[in-house]
Formats: sequence, C-alpha cells, structure tokens
Amino acid sequence: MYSPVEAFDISTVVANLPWYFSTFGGYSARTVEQEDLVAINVILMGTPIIWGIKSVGIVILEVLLITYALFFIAQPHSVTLTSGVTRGFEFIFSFIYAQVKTQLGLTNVHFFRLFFLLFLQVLIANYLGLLPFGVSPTSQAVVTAFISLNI
Amino acid sequence: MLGFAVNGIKFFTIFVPNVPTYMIPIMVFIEVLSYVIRCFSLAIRLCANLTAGHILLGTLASFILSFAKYHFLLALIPGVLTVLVFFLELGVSGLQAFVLVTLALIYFKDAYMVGHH
Repeated sequence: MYSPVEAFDISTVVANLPWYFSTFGGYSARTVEQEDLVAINVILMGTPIIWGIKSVGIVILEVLLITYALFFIAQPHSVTLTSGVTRGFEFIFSFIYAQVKTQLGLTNVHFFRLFFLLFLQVLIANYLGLLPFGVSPTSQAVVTAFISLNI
Repeated sequence: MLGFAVNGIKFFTIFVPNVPTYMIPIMVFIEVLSYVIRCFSLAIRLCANLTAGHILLGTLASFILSFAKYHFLLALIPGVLTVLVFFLELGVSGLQAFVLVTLALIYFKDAYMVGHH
C-alpha cells in the first residue's frame, strides 16, 4: 500500500517519459528511504545520470558560502549609488536591528550581529530548498535542533 | 550558559515565579519543563514547516508528470498550483526565519536579562 506521496513518486514516472520531461522533476518527496540525502536521477538521452548529496554538512557549507558571498556583493561600491542587493541587506539589517533594540535595549545591542547572521543563514538555508534539485538544511530536524539548543 | 555565566546563581530565579509559597514546587517543575521544551518546539516548528512545504511541492510536481501522461494541457492545473505554492513557500521561508529569530531573541532576553521582566 502506497501513501499518496509514494504513489506519485517522480522517479517511477520519469522512467516512462522522454528525457526532456525529466528536467521538470525538481522536487522529490522520497528522500528518506534513499541512501543519499537527496539523489537526482536525470535520464539524459537514455543514460541515467545520478547525483546525490550524502551529507548535510556540504549543504551547510553552501549556506555559509552564499551568506558571505552576499556580504561581499552587498558592499557599497559608491557612496551615492547602491545596488539592489545592498538595499535588500539594508532592509533586513534595519528590520533585525529594530527587533534587537526593542527586545534587549540599547545597552545590549551588540548582540545584533548574532541574530542578524542567524536570520540570514536560516533564510538562505530555507531558500536553498526551494531551488530545483535543491535541499534545505533547515528541513532536517538535526540542524534545527542544533541551532535552537545552541541558543 | 551565557545567562548563567553573566548572572551566576541569580539565573535560577527565572524558574521561580512570583506565586504563593505552597505553589512554588509545582511551578518550578513546570517552568523547568517549559524552558527545556521550548528549545525543541523552536526546532520542530522550523523543520516541520519546511518539510511540509517540500512534500506539498513534491506531490504537486509529481502530479504534473502524472497528468502529462494523459494530456499535456491537463498538466497545466497542477503546474499553476505548483507555481502558486512556490511563491507561498517563499513567504513561509522568510516568515519562519523571522519567527525563529524573534523567538530566539525572546528566549535569550529571558535567560540573559534576569530581573528585567
């Protein structure tokens, strides 16, 4: 007896379709039973190409890299002209700063860095899961438990 | 740990609310339990929300392929739904990150600023 998710498993359907359909299979709900954390099975011109992530640590590294790359990109190159990324960062910055100031007060506002980085990393980790063939570290209970227990 | 390091033994006063003396033992038990459980609730909230979104998107993406076997235009129905749910999940991702940080701030305040609330 299959659950609704298993009954419409992508990998079984993809095998019966031409190769160009397989690129639509961005999201696979069956990741638990597989050996890899997330495995992508793309059938390209009749040849199966399998790419998998075995460790959530690699994905966390991706999150860190993207966070610090965004920090680098968001550096204003001019005093008057700011890029969209910079404006986005400024919005998030002021948003989290206001939260920290409200909760902890001006005397403890130096903790802002901790919560700003926490917000950015959780946000980017969440968005990684929405990319086609992407996996989100924050959808793993072990990662979120690690974050919350540390706080 | 930071709260204990900064406030010392005074940190444990967060487990003793201002209640009549005969209620203190049961209230301390409840406060300690809630202090421990909220770590896990914070973790499970984020994890469950994201997993639910991924399963929903996975199911809808599977429907696209299943319906495409019968007729290509039929696959447009789950296709449009997938796009809509995708944008919903974009919002949920941002909201969950914000919720996590706000709750973490409140818990941090409780532990760090003992006696200020």
